[in-house]
Amino acid sequence: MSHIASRSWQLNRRSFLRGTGVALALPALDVMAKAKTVAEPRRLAAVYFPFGVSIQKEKSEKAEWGWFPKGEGRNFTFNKSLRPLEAYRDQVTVLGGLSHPEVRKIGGHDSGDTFLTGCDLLSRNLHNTQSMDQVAAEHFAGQTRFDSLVMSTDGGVGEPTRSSTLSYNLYGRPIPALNQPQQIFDRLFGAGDPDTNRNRRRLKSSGSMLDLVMDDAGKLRRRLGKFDQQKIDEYLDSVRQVEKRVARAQQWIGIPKPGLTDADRERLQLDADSKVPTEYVATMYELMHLAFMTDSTRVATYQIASMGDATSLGGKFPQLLGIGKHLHGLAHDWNKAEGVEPLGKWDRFLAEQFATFLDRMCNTPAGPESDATLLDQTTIIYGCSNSTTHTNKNYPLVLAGGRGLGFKHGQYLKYGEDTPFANVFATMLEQTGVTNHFADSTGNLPELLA
Amino acid sequence: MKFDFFTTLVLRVFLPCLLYILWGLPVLGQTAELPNFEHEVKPILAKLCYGCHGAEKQKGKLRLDTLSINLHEDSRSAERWHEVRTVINLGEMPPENETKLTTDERRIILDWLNPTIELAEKLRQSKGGRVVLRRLNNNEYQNTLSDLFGVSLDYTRDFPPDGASPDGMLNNGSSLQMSDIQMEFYIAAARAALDRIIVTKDEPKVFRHQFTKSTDGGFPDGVQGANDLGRHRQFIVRMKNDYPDQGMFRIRTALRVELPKEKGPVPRLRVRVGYRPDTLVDMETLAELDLHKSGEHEFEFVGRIENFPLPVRGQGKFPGLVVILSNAYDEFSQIGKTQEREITGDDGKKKKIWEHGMGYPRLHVEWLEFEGPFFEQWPPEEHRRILFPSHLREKREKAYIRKVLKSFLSRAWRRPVNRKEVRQYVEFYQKLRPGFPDLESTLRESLVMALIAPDFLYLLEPAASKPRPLTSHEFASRLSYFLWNSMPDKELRTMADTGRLFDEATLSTQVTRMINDERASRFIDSYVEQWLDIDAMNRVEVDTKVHPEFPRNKRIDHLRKVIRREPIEFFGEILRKNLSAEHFIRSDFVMLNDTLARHYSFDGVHGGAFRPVPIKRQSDKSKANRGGLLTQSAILLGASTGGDSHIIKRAVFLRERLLDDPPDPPPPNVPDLKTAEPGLAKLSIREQLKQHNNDTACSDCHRGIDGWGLAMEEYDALGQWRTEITRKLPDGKLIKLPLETLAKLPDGREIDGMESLKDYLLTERREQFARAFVVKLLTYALGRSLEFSDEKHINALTKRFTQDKMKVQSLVQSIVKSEVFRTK
Repeated sequence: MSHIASRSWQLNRRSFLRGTGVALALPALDVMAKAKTVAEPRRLAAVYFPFGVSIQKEKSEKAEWGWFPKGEGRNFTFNKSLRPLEAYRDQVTVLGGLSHPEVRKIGGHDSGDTFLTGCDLLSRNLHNTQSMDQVAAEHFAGQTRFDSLVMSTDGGVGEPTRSSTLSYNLYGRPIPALNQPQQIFDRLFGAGDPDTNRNRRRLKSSGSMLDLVMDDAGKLRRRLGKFDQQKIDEYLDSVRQVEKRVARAQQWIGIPKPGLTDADRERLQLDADSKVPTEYVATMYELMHLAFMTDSTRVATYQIASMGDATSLGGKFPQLLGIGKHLHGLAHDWNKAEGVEPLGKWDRFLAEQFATFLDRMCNTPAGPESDATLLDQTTIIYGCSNSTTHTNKNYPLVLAGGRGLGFKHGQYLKYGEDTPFANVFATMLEQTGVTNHFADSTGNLPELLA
Repeated sequence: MKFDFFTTLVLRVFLPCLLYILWGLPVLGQTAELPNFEHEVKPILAKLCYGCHGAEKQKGKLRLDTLSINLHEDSRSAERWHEVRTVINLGEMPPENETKLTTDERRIILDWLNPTIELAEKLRQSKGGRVVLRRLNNNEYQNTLSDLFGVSLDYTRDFPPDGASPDGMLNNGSSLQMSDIQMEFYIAAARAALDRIIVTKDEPKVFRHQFTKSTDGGFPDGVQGANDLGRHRQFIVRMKNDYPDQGMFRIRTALRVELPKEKGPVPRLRVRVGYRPDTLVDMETLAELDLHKSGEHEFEFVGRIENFPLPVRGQGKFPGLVVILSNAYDEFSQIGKTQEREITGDDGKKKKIWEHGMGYPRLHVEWLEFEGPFFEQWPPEEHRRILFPSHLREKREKAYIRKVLKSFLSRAWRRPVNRKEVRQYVEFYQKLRPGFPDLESTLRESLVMALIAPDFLYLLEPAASKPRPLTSHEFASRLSYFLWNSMPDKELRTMADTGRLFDEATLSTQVTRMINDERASRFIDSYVEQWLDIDAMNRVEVDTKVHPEFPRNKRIDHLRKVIRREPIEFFGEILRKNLSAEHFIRSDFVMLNDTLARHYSFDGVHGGAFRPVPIKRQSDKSKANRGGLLTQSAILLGASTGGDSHIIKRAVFLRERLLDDPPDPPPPNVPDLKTAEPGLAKLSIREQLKQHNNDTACSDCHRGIDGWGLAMEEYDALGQWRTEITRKLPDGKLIKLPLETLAKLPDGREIDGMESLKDYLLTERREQFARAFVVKLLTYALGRSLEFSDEKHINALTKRFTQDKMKVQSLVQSIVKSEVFRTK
């Protein structure tokens, strides 16, 4: 595919001034100027599927359905299930042997919540910790309209150990995932939903409120002694900081949402629902792609299915695709002779969808005047927190994109248990310019970098 | 107010006993006189140091002969003196090839340097003896919103923790910071609260259910649904869709109790609400109570549904809100333990059931009713308290809003508000009104503003440079934040309005009322936690190899919770009954419930509620020695390694918390006793210390510490009485060592064990303890660190306190009547 996305969404300065009037334009210009000087934006995404994959011994009869490739390093061959990635071989690295050390302690089916957090949920009274994507989202906060785009097939937060979101805020609280394509579209490109409208009203009232309390506190200050004045100054500083942030968030209200080309719109199937998995998953990936393309956010996560088992919408995908049982059952049969192929086919379905996403990402320029592709500027982790259904080790993982951020690809790397999975996150965060550590990381992984 | 540094130094010499308490000389009982710098310290420095750090050479750019000894005024010199202390402590100076300091020389320098540095530090931090503008801490904020709205919700979820003061208090204005993050939380919390309190929707649908049987046959962890409650047998009801997400709910239940014998074990009803995330249960306790009488009983429990873990609708394998009744008795008891047995069911199949043993206190559920959301009227009471019904509302919105705001502001700000203030809020309301859909949502925003104003978030006592007496409303707030951790109630406010609160007799009555009020438990909890640092025990992991009897599973770690509760219950009993503070050293009763009684080997305590148990009738030594703080597991566990006692920590606890005489912090690079060479591990603690103390640098400090800790050796890490010591070696093996309790205290006095330690404290250290007790409570009451200028107040209060036989409630009365409490 050689489709090059149109640039109609691009926020050029003139149309912007026309649209909003000068008064609001001035602070907003600041945002644009910043975007220019900071070079290309760096982005980060995570995609997850539950219950593990088909893992077969290299010499077994069914080896062709083994998820992990044959060989190692640069000399490896994809088996059937990951073969759709062959065309993007130089954009991906397959990672073997990794897992979150803390999560090894808990039940196999309880690990989904921790894919991006790495914490031992059960010994913490079911309280999670901040997820990797949210560390980045916090770092980029305010630079784009949305700090992050959190999506899942099931939507909402689910239950502890049966989470239907990958993302957890600074305090380890789950961030509800969006699952309706139309709703996500409205939020990104449309008129906004009731939630957004209420937030907008409140943002405005916050502005005036902070002004007033600051005035009052200023007057109060004069009536105080030296030490109390220091305390009120602390208060005034805090209010001033919050006010700045509110003003920054308000800027986005004045800036028109990006438009899309007809071609982009046609590709979207906003009425897709989870009863037609191929369309639905493709649409969710496409929304992620569009969100990045329009620089509406720098951070996105998508949970294709949850470990919610019986109630999970994504859990029904294999049945709906005609592959066989519901996902949980399918995954449990990984070591039964008759179970290998159906599970392998499911693995391949996922790989096909992921490949389409990579295709879109590497055929879109990273920015209006950029030579790099969107994929070059985006690092993506794709995988699961189980190898086979109950095993919390040797996660099946693909790291993709980010060549413009220093990653090199075309490898299958095998790690030992002494390397925490968080080291991959630390590397991703570091290359994205966020931080150089995450959770229990012990360092970054230079072999991933050019 | 400014302190003259040297005058204060002189004061030190004349008021030695006072200064022990404020500054804590490293070794008690030694001479309190500071070595004279010119005549004693300087000659040593000149002899050994000036060569390299004097007029000719200034190695390391340090020149000592001209270095100012006015550490308070000259902060650069203070820093240099700090360095000097460190290198002397470490023995780094004088360097290897030079003449060393003799032990006496070292001591002279340090005896001058240590207090001088501390004094300068203290003076530098002085706030002129005045309370610094205090932000409500998280706990006070939570309580204030609960009382302001009349609804207990979790208002402070995820708030950043508050900073503690150097005295370990969490209500110190200087330590309680404000930040942008904190401010954002305040905005979000106020909005979330008002979204709940002020309703815009119509009366919600009320769900009512009645159950006579469990809805679920089984639950995770092998629990079976049953009417006859016991271990693994619980009454479980799950309401799949028809349950509320907001508001109050009411649970009524009828139970039948069968007690095996009088004054024997009793069942403990536990009511929990929550849900089941697949293979787990996430439940919070709504109520727990002992049932002391056989027969039928009916109970009603009310809760706020938002305070419980709630399922997400439409998700989950076992959807719905769950209520579980269980008998908490069985979890810890030995009597009548429930056993698993295999039986053949009606269908001929074999299955396992749980059966009670003989003597089991039985609890049988007849039925359970659930109703929610539960309200007397709509809109609910809390909404009406703010938006009261009035004919003005429809006709003259502005006039109505003015009334609403005036009433809310004066309650939220804990003082009368003036017209100008109200007008500003009305104007803000009017400004927002066109952009908002209705009166309610506009008003919410106006009230949010009131709740982020300094008038709400701080205990405002505006005053310029000179101290002034508090106004009656400021005084009412000081009182209520002292004794309730919250805002004044209506009665206090009325007393403040009329000014009657300053009347001695009225004030006494009010204080008594406040202490007897349930809200006083907020003060008791907070104060005891901070004074004694109770949570030290939760920072210690119990070594279950040494203490296999300690429950390993944290999720049912009931014993730990009960242990933590003891000092709080103990303080509460002493305060409410106005008993003597001497009980904190030696007491003729212990506060126990069944679990803790078992832990301490006391007999005849049944039920989970705490109550005073006299120790008189308990005969053997372990029990007789109980009573007082020093034998409580919370304290002893907190000052342990989790495997064994830690005599240093115990000594530090005693000196810091009970005598207000904290030892100097250890110099840097001091090795931990345990991590030293492996041969050391097999030696008795006394031998270990002997080796450690071969170094003079160590022995100086340890002389003031070790004795106190050794005296407490009769109690192990869990606070249980022992006759020999179990020690875990580095290789994991356990060995036994004989108990050694004979100890020499800093003043040379020999004591042997806990009883003689208590004797000693109550005789030789009685005054010091009384004074320390006053200092701690006054520090908390004022919300600031005490300073030199407080000496006269401390002295007066201590004198009064000891004359009053150290009665604790009387001390509270004296504090609130003291001038210092009434002055800004």
